[in-house]
Amino acid sequence: MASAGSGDEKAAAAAMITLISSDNEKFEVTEATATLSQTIRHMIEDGCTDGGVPLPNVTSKILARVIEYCKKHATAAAGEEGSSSSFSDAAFLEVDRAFLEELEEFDDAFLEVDRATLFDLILAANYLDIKGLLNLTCQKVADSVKGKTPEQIREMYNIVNDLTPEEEAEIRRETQWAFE
Amino acid sequence: MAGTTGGRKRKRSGSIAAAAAGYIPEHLVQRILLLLPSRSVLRFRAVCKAWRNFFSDPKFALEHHRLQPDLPLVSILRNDTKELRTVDYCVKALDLRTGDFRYVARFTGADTSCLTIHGSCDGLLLLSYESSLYVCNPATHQCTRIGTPSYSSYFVAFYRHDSTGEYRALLCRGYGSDRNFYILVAGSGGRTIGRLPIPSEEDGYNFRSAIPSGVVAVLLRGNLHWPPEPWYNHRILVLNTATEVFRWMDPPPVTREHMPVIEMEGKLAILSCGEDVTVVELWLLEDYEKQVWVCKYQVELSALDISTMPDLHSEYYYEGWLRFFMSEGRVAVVTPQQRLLVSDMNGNLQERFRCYGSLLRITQYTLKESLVRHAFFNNSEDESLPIFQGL
Repeated sequence: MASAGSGDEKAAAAAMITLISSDNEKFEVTEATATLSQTIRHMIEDGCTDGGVPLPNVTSKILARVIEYCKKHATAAAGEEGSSSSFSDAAFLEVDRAFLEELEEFDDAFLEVDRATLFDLILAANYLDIKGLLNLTCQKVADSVKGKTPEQIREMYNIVNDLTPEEEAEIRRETQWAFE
Repeated sequence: MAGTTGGRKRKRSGSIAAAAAGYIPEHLVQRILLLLPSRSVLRFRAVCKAWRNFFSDPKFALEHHRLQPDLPLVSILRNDTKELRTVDYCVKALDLRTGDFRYVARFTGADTSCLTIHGSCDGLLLLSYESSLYVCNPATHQCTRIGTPSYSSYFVAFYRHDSTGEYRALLCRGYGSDRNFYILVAGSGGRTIGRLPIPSEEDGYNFRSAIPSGVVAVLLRGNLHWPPEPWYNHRILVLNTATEVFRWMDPPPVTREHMPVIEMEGKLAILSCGEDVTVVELWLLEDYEKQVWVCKYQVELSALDISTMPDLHSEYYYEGWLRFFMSEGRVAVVTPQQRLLVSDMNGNLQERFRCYGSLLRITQYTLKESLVRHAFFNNSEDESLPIFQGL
């Protein structure tokens, strides 16, 4: 498989893959978009994508969002490969910068979802092994809780406080300033 | 190989199906918790036992530290205090990527000159206050006194000694041919543990007269690197911290009066600029063994409209090299008007900060926050410094 060589790459880039969501909806995507998912990349390498790739753990609603992300970032990955060795080239830098900014804006808008959707995206990114999407969504959750109090965290995530009052008091005493 | 991967993925499907109920597998919860800022981590230890145990695991601290950005530190004298003769001295970490300022230390007192940053290593800062040296961790607000340097000493470097794991301050004392080096170790009660042999006579002469105080050394591969200086023919002085032997290294093929050494992308880098900071460069040591320097960035800052009018009353005019820093693909510059400008690598202005205060400085130190616990912080409650006021 690895010996296929670069001559076939153009043809491969244009190849389409069918992804099938848990509720049986079909999505046609390019191989470049699909292979942002390491899971799907491995399936393609194993040659088991004929007749579509069933993704029984991802709903059509979430899969549509994931594909939206992959389409955008697949373009970015292609751009990066083209300019990797020309850091000192001002023209490339300018293109890179503009594109990176656009990508950042895309990511920000992409993350404007409710908590349940965000968690579904994390699970999908984990299952499909899409590193960038997993980092992005996990960081979003971290950012959304970082200013909370322990009480708020327990309430938000139904966590039972099993620390003894003495243990909790000790933790608070150690770094009182972090609770202010 | 691919078969086992597929099998592993299928096993996780049970978790995914449970997503609707808000269930997230533990390894993903841990992944999220690793992305929290230090302050949140310390606070969330009080959520429950599982979180406390996870956050207390030394492996967590190491991984959390690894994920932290290495941020340039700026210092500023805030002038909003009402009382005369009172200073409000702040050190902040600047994230050039996001434009965020984070407080690192804050000291209010009668005189600012008594608090100075001398070094930064693994999230620890070495500070001097009055006549003593302190190691502190801004992420945990811990602080310990490591000793009082002997008279006429000056500070040379702060680093981790790999084989012992000790954090050491390297100092120099004495005059003329009596001059020698010694080390203070965090946690050993300020015990002087050894004298470094002076370099060979030829190099030793240069070295003894040549490391000016305030010049920042960079620790990389167990070696300390000092910037090329005219006093020693623009070569880079290197100290192997394990063998404690000095040697020389070739600088990039460019000669400027001041060329600060920094670490970038895990490599040694040198910043350089002309007198007026209109063009700044970053040289990267691409191949450490073969000493191959590459000019990675050359940024013209003319678009920033930095006044190059020499302000002869300001000592800063003579310290152009202290006025800029590169990090995260951005350049930060302090203007003579005490503004902090951030540009991209094309010299296009990205952000402009107004600083409410005076003596805005880019310190040339960076800080990579760390929650790693150190035994030397445990027995020193009586020696803490008031350097985290209101933080």
